[in-house]
Amino acid sequence: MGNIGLWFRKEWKHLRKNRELLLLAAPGVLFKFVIAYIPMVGLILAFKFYRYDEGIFGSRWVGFDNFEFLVKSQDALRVIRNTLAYNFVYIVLGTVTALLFALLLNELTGRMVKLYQTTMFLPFFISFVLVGYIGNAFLDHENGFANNLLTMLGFEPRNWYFETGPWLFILPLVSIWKGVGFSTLVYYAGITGISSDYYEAARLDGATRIQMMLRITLPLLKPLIIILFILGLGNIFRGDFGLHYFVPNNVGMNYATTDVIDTYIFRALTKLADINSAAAVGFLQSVVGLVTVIGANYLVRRIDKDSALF
Amino acid sequence: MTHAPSGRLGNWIINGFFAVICLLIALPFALVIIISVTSENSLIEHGYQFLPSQLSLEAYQIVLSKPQSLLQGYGVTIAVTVIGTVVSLLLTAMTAYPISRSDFRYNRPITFYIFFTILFSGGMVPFYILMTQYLHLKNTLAALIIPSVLSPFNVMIMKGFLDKISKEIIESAKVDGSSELRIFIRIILPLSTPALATLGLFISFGYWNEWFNALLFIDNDKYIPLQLLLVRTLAQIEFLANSPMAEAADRLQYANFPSLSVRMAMAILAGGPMLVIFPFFQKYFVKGLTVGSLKG
Amino acid sequence: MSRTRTKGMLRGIVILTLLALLAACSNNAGGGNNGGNNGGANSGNTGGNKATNTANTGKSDQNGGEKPDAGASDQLKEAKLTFYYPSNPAGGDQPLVQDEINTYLKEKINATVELKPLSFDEYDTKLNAMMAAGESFDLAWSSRYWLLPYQSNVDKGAFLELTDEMIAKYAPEARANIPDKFWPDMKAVDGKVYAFPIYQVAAKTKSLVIQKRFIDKYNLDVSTIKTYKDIEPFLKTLKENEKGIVPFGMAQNSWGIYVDRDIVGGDGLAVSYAKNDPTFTGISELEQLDRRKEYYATMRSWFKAGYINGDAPILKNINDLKAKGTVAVGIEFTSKPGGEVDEMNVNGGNEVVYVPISDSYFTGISGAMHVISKTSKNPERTLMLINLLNTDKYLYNLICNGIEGKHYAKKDDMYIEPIKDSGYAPNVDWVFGNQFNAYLKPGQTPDVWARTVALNDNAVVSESYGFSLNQESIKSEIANVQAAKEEFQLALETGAVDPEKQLPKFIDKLKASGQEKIDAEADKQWKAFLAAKGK
Repeated sequence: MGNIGLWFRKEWKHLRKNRELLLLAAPGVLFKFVIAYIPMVGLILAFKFYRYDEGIFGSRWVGFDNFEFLVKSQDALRVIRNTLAYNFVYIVLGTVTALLFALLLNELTGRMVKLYQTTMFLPFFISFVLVGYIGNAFLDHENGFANNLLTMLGFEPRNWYFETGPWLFILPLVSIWKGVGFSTLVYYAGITGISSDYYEAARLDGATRIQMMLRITLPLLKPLIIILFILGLGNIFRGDFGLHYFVPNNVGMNYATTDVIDTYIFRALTKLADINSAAAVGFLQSVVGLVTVIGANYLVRRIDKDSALF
Repeated sequence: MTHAPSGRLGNWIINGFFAVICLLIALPFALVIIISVTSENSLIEHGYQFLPSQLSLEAYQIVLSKPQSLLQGYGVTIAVTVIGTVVSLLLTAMTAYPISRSDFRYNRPITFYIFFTILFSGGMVPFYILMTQYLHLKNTLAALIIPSVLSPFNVMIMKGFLDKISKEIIESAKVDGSSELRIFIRIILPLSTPALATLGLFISFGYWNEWFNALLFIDNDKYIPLQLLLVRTLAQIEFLANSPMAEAADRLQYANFPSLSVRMAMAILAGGPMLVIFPFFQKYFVKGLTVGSLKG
Repeated sequence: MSRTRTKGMLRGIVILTLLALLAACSNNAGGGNNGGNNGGANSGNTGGNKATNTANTGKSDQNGGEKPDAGASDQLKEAKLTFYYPSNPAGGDQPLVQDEINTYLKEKINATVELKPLSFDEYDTKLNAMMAAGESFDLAWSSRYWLLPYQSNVDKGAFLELTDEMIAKYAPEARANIPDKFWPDMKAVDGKVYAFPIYQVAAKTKSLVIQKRFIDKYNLDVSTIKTYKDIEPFLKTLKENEKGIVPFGMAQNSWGIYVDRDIVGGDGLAVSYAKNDPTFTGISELEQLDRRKEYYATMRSWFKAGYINGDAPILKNINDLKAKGTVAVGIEFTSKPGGEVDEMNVNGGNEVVYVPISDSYFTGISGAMHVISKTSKNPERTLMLINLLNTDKYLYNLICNGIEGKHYAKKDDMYIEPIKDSGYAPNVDWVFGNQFNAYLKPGQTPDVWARTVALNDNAVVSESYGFSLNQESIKSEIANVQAAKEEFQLALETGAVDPEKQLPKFIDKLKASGQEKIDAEADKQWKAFLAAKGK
């Protein structure tokens, strides 16, 4: 008892000492509590059969029934493998390209930088539905640009949508195309935030541009890189529905390399309008994301305590 | 930053590199613009082409046929975007700054607390109940702003930006007797202009493109944002042109409707204004701010 | 290391508790009215709200039961109703039309109605959110397989049951329009009725849609075509002689010409049985698939011969292809009277002929329905409104076409001409009520409704009407089977893959996903249904 009392008094002191920063964070924290944490009662729907007239709390518990279809699914392994593998590729490839672009952009000055940034950001405007149509313009097997090019070069045209192989490259390519402008901008902003004092000092020491890039810019970007990386890992178990549904055109023949958890769920559950099973899958995706993130954060902590996210 | 003359060649190479990359990235985007001004006949005959055989502005005429509601939609969208971006930026920075301070005792739990909401969410149903029955936000502009006013994703990115600010600056300000709030406003915010500009850009994009919350929470035509208007128009076209439920007379009218080019035209009209917003934020991507430059 | 972690967690817990307390305080302060609702009934906020809502409906039900004589409108208290339906944007004059409707309704049943049209993309999302939140509204539109699907929403407890007594009391005229032999289609799995049908075309015939110019050119005798296979020589001729023409057009939304005239059932019905089988023994899905072997082989040969467009499994919408006017033969599933006129416009202005390849079979009257929400405060008045919508010619045409002289011009007793850009044109007659009450619009033949009624009456009504499968115990199997079907079906139907290789794979996957369990369960329920019927 006394111990706890002591601890409380100590903690109270800390609270007082940190009160200014705490107050600064308070609106955001409270806001999240109301807008995000209170509705989390809905997570129990994953274990219930939700009837509107009985309400969230009144509906009957069904245990793990809502997870059953996923466990029994013949495609579970395939879609899980695809989801994890693609997401991993997107994260790594996306980070590397964006970093490279941001570092190179930083070497340039003037108007051109803005032009490049704007151009790279353009695909961000377009919904995946439209991306699907544009993809079709390239891959259509009669009029598509890709096949026109192949025939022009004397190759046989291909049935892109009927094949599984090409999607291993097409999907990451589209993912980069659509997202690289965004991530490049984040890293570029990170670089511009670096105080120029560092560079002045380095220049006095006679450092080259490459050296400054590797010794100053990259290390100072590390926290940002780690944060974006961990954010990506949090969604490792969520497939990009728009990308994997509209771009390969939802054609059964290429599911082997395009089907991910979210597209599978859509296929299996839309007709049944089964919100409970959908909630169950969402719950599972969250849990896997949480475990992955905590694991990754733990690893980062072991290596470099200050860079860990939490 | 000025570069040594030896970097000229390097600059040319880098410029060439980006020119190629940007060309590749812009090519599919150009196709969107081209399709939007291609006539339906030429789309039906030849499919998608970079050099269409027949141009037509019909798609734009159709989308712009009801300028009044479209203008109102723009009005709502602009209001939501401006208010939302300002409030959201402030709230995001306020939340991100304390958790970026390693000397703040509660930084890790709060970071985790915020991060957790990226991973888990209660779903649409409880959120809808909260918004309509407890917060009573149905049919208000606030319903369009509040749901995404504090994105945990943005908080994390902001934290990443702020992590780099050197501790000495804060320490020295504290020695001068500044309060944390004063440090935040006078030092941290100005120092993170590029970061705020980037996030501001993302946030405004988010608000600009948002229509789902409007679908859920808005019944009143006065508060319908642009994107929802466009979504509705598209749904109507698709239905009249294709559904077996549609009346004969309407299908007659819509059978030759340029639905594909209308889609593209809508994307352009909806996204176009963002090309004005982009440079506005870009102004603030200023390199190498220092405390010294603040005082000057 | 671990000590700091526990400390961190403790710290976190303290903060969370503090916040929770804060939030609780503010909730109490601000939510006095909610507290009132909660009083004593259920624990938990949402639960409380739900309880009041159901209590309300319960009460009004009782009212209806207790006062059997409260029929006349002057004794009814004024009711405000809300009506949600999928629609095209109606135009700026909707408030005007609504006022006109309400003037009429007040006089008739002392009620007013607020029209709440939603676009087709929004309808399900918005209604699902509203119903899930227990929001109060009265009338909505539902369908068997499309928007606001009937059975799954009945399962979720969204709709109010419409008992025979209620219907007999509040909607007798509308009920009289529906032939009794069709009525069992309204029953949900539990045998109860939760919706009122909007009577319209209820029979379908599968047809081939053939461009007339090719029929004439190659002297095709359409009377010889009884099944899909009979068209093959014609496709061959087209392929050989007509460059740039797609002999047989298919797409993701247009496939499935297989017809087995020996079977009643097939597409969309809960069970299938042989036509000449007096015991109505169910034919399982796997057996049916086996019967299709030859059909898939034919499709494969058509695809390889180039009769079918090569992008059939990729093309989203067949109309995109038809618009070119190059599709010689296509597929039509409904073949409703007068449909050829529409089809001509879709086919780039080329005249087409329907050539039926199946019996005309009854597809049910549950394609379009009115439902009353369980949260409705005035269910009996809502039912009276349904009654009027389906029987009152004035009201029906007012809500469909707007105000005479302002939104449409009357040409004679039967025909009207919509006024262009008049400010009211929802173009969704089929959501409002019995279509046979509608004025005719240009392009429709005078006998269109008479022909539709005749078609409905002559359609073969399957023994299985009134039977629907209770999916509760086989939910996960159905989900996985559905996913498997989407993977293989389209590719097999369009001939894009070799059935020798893919069909066995498909069957294996169906079995592994639990198709046999589904078949067994369906058979069990079907037998019980037949037994109950005394067959």
